[in-house]
Amino acid sequence: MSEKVIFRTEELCKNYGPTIALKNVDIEIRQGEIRGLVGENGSGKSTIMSIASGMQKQSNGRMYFKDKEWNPDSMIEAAKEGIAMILQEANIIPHVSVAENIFAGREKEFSKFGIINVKKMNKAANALLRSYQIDHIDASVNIDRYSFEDGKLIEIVRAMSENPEILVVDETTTALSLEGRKILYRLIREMANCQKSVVLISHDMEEIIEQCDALTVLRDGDIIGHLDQKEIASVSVEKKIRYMMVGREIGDKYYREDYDVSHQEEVALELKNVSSGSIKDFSLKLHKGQIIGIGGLSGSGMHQIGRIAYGLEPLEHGSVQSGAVEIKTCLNAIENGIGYISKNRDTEALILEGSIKDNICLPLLNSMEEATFISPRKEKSMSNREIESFSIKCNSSQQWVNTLSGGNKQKVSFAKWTAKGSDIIIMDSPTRGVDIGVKQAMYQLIEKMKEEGKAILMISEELSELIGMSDELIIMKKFKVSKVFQRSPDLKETDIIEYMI
Amino acid sequence: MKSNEMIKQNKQKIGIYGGLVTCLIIFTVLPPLRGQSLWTVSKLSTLMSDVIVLALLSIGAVFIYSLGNIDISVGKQVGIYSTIIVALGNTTDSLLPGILLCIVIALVIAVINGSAGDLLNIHPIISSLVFMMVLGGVSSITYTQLGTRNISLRTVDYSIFKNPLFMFLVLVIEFIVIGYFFNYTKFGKYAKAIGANQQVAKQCGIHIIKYKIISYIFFAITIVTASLFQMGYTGSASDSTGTGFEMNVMVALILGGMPLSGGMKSKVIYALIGSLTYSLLNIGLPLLGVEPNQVFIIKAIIFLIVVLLTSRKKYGVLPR
Amino acid sequence: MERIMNIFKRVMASIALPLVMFLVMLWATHAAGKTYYGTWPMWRTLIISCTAMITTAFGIGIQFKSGRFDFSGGGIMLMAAIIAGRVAEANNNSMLIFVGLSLLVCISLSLLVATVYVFGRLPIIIATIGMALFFESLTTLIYDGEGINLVANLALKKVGTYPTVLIPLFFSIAIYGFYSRFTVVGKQAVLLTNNQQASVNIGIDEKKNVFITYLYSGILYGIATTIFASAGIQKAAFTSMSTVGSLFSNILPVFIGLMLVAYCGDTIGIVLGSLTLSLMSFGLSAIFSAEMGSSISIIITGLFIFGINVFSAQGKHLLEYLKTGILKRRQVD
Repeated sequence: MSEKVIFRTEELCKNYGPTIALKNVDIEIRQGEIRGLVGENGSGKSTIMSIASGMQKQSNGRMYFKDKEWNPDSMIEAAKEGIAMILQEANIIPHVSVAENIFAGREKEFSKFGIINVKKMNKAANALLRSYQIDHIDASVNIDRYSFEDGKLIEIVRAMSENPEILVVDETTTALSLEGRKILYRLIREMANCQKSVVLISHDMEEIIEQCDALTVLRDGDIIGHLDQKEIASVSVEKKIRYMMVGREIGDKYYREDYDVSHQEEVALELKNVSSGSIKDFSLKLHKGQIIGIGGLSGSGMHQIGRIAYGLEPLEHGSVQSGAVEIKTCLNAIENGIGYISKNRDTEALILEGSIKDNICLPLLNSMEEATFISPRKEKSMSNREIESFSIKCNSSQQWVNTLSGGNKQKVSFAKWTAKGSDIIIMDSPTRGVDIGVKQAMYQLIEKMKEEGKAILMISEELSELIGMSDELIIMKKFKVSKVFQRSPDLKETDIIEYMI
Repeated sequence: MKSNEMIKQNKQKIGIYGGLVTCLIIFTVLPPLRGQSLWTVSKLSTLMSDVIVLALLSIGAVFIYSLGNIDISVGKQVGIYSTIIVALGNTTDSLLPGILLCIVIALVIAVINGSAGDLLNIHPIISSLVFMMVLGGVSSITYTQLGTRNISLRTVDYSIFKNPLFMFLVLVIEFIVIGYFFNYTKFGKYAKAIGANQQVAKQCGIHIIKYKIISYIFFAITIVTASLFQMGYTGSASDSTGTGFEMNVMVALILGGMPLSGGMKSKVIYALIGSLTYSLLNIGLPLLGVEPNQVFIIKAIIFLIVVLLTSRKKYGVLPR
Repeated sequence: MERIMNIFKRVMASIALPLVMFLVMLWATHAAGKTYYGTWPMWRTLIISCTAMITTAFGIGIQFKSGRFDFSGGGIMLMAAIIAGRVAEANNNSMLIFVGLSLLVCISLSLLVATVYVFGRLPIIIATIGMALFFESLTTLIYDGEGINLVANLALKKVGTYPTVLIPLFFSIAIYGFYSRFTVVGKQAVLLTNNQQASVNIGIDEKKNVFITYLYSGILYGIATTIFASAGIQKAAFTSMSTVGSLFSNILPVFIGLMLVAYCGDTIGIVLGSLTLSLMSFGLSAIFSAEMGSSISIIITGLFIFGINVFSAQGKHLLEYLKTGILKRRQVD
């Protein structure tokens, strides 16, 4: 890693109408370094790099790349000149071939007089894939045949296809399996060795600490501080980073501190030998006042368990019981006091283009009606009660959910079920994309729910969360239960990982 | 400065109500300069009879449009129902059997249109397209067999349907009833939720097919009511009765500010505003001395102006 | 060997629909004693009505493929028909003027629609409904709202007669196929349709793509107008949205074309779709009397469309069931 600064910004600002995303940011990236950018949602870490990579324009300020002023008009132009970015969302185009994805926007290079030479494009794409030791993808094939992870690999290849000087990786590793991450980390190391730079934007503390030479922490559009290699190697670095990200001491208490796994005798929800889709013969007993966590890799089947327990998937064998009642549809489930918070918050759990009030009251309408009439006053008071109890930051219950921050949105999806008075809550990835401060509040809430005697099924891809919160932890692998762990102060992530892979 | 802010935020409301209010102002102030007036009993009666069918249909259509669906069979349904009412009216000397038969047919169509999309996995517009074609064919065959272009009521007294006060009364009643069910009961709220995000609605325990069918049933009742007035104005029905009504409903709703994708922003009042504005232009422009064939182009231009104020998508990629 | 089997399977699947329709209609018409069906004169007339449908379907289809429901085509074609027809008549029935103006008017009006859509940033349905109303209202104002009547004009009607009609047919197929398969614009249009946000992020110029696509649909509508104008009396549109109904009766081949896209591509698919529908309507009007024929034809067409849609939505599951005996779980979301 050299000392030469290859990219820098001067007083970079970005506003979205009244919202200020970046405030006079000055950042430097050195040649050959792997710099991590960390921060909460809304801190601006993705925004800086998306401006640098040509996806959007800044509102104010200047950028310099290789000592010249830098003002790319599009991502394609930026990539050509040397800065390429892999975005957080799935940025592949379905229903077309892999090659068309890799060379999207660059079709002109394979065409004469506006006519495209498909064979040439496929050949070039395959060559590119092989050069990164990706042998299992054929460029002429339709991209729909490949998994989400392969899609990310293809995006990486697309980003690398113009040999960038700076590669920006935005939250990509969450989508990748172990193999995929190996390929990516190998790529990052190679780039550093060749005096090229990498910017790694991530939420994953371990990954950041392990992979990066330098770290920059942002909060609310400002740079809070930098950490160099020595500081990254120190013991309490994680706590320090968290402090910088949140801006206050969040205290030591994050997850549960007790090791009391007691719960009530009564079984709240039982899955008896259920088989549905790839899940075969799965059983589970959830008691009142108990928190059962389900973990594993994203394709292990754990998300399906949540859907099955809520009656969203038809069963081929077995049954889901709540007390004496068999749960066959989610209508059954709701009537029996079960609530479900889907992992796809914006598409399955919340109506974005709808008010907080409408979202919270939706499952309640049935019980609120009196001879068909639903009182608007009742709706308002119910939702206000929940807004207060969750401290949802908003102007009024009429506000639309898509104007809320990620954490507040998640609070609304919780509020639906507390308003309904559900006693059994199935939550899938409850704190994904939620800021640390809010996460802490949610863990406290979940702990309180356990004390109140509610039954909680928590499905999550974050091992530390599961270890911290569950009474019993079920690890799944390839659609089967791999191992069941009991809550214990000695339980470590390393113990668990071997059962996941 | 503050007034600028207010204008920006309320641009939508201004576009929607503004059109209507502007029309009312212009058509109240200007015609007297030419010796005409909007506010005479006869002109108001004409306005009422021009708007009644469209308004009755549009108000009911709100239930469908809030689901995010479009129904293109409305016109042909009106045609068939008018025909049935007249035909049975002539054979039984009463309108009642015809009305009952129409209600039965309308309910069947509602059930099919409401459920076909989800049960058969086809786009909901397809089943309404099929009904449009089938009903159109049936209507043509009927009139060919009858050997006549149109049929008229011979013995039944239908004069009440020509009475503008009665029209006004029925319109108000329908507005109140549909408005109540749409805004204060779960039927309307579920419809809006399904239109906004069907997945979420499902996970909140809403039985999708059941409530879609119920929405279509509300619409079906209003179609039969509208058909009564369509037939009642002249006491006759023909093969071409109702042609193009679905398009008029669409234009009226868009003009009134109804989003085509449905969802939480749907409101019954939009139907009323849209159809009133539409009819006001029809009746009012000639009072200003506008030639009949110029009325059309003015309506088209006003439509474009209103939607530019209400339906623009400001940021991001082009709207779909 | 396997490749040849594959190609054979695809060809068979593609022509299955029109072939079966032809055979069914042939049997039915001959059973009813109408032997006109299947003769060469019938094919000549069929090709003409097919071409009218195909060219309009191409115009609709090019926007439909990009997820755009465009309501303005009918109004555009009517304007072009009236203007081109009238001016050509006034200039010695010049075929050059007729074809040239058809293309010119269609292209200009299409680009106008694109402008309103792109710069007005309106949802496409609303934008095109507005433009349809606008164009229709214009037709009532030009030439005193008398429309165009080329029924007696043999010189200009030549385009709509065999064999001249093959020229527009050939050109429209070539242009539509060229756009979809070979052009950068066509490929980028597919990318934009499949993932709009990603494509724009990558840097594909959406506005430019929309304009060029509308240029193509303008050309296709222009070709369609030459046949449309000579088909019969075209009245000015005094009822709002009256052009929409006849426009969308041509959308059926587009549905069929999209169904067949895996077997023969949507270009050929649309041609085969039009062929199927024309065969059906000719057959039905031969069996029943002219008046009844068209009514029954509409009913049967409606049910046919219903069947096709249900089959293509469920068909894969039915086929798999037949193959493996296991009924796949259907998702009702």
